[in-house]
Amino acid sequence: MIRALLEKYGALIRRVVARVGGRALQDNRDDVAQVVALSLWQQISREQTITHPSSYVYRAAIRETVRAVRQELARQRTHSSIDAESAVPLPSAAPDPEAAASSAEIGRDIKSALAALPSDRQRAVRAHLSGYSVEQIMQAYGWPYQKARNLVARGMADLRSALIKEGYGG
Amino acid sequence: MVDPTRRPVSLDDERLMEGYRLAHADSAEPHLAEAEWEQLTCGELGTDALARAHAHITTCAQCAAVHRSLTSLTAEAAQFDAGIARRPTPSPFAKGWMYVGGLAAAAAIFAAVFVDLREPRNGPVGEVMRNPQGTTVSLVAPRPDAVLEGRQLAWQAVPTAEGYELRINTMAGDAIWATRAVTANATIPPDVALPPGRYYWQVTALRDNIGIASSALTAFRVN
Repeated sequence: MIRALLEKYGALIRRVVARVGGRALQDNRDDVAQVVALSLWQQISREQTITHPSSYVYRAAIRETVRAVRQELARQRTHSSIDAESAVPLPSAAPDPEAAASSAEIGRDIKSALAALPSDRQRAVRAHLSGYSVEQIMQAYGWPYQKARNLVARGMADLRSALIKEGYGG
Repeated sequence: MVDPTRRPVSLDDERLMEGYRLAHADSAEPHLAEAEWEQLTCGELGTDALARAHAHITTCAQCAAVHRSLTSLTAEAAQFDAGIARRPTPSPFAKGWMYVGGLAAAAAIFAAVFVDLREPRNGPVGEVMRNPQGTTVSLVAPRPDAVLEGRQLAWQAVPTAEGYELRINTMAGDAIWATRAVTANATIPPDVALPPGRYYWQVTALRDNIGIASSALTAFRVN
């Protein structure tokens, strides 16, 4: 049972990390799979008695996912800095440089616009822009569905209005 | 005032998310520790810690990426592992919800093998449930992985419970006994065969015939 779970979780973590890594992960995808499988086995083997195998493997998978995603993000940052210094293009999941520059610029203005929003709208929009679903926003802040959905919708509308005033959206 | 030097930029969600991510690439606050991620994902963080965690995640691109990854992990793992922590699908009009915490091990096995033994009830099958205060049922004897003595099982009473449902299965997941009790103890009948080996047991506290809290699925041994 544990072996089968480990294999499935190993493959799943690899897929999850691949989404973070995008195209840049293609080259070392097998390495990631091996590291994940080995690490999961090491975590499991440290426990002499596993009273709840399924929950245990799931928890081990959570920890391993955190590590693998952080490693992938660190690897991306390292490659970005090397890329910037050497001017040698490396595979990247990022959009083209022009789009990235405009995203960085709009990011600064998003930050300013968000600061002007009422507290709840601000929290809802920050969560939405961080990739939370409405369901997760409900859970995070204890809001009913309608409130969470409305705060996101109205907050995003406020944000867009503020950005349009700053000259975006043409 | 409109800045004439700026180029028009699409304001679709994807572009705004990318801009937000770049604006929060370097968080000054310390990131969540692995243990905190585990507790957050399994629904075990207290109110204050939860608020701090979400405040950080939504202002830190790195942790937002980890959060998205764990969301994917949980959603996809639910397709093959019934033992993961999960929350009920909320009603669009719900004002709040009952918290369903982490699942015990081998819940899938229990769901399969006990379905015929169980009386109908409204609670989820085989899940470790917590009430909104996070109560679980504490098993007293036998202790985890200890030897069963005199076929006696005992657990800590849950004040609000009206009864308990007890289940025992083998390592292989075969159900060997399931019963209901009013008090916080039970004796396995002599006609239930217990060959030497390892077994799992779990107790669910009931109120109005609904599971309100469960123990972890825990092993004991028979010599």
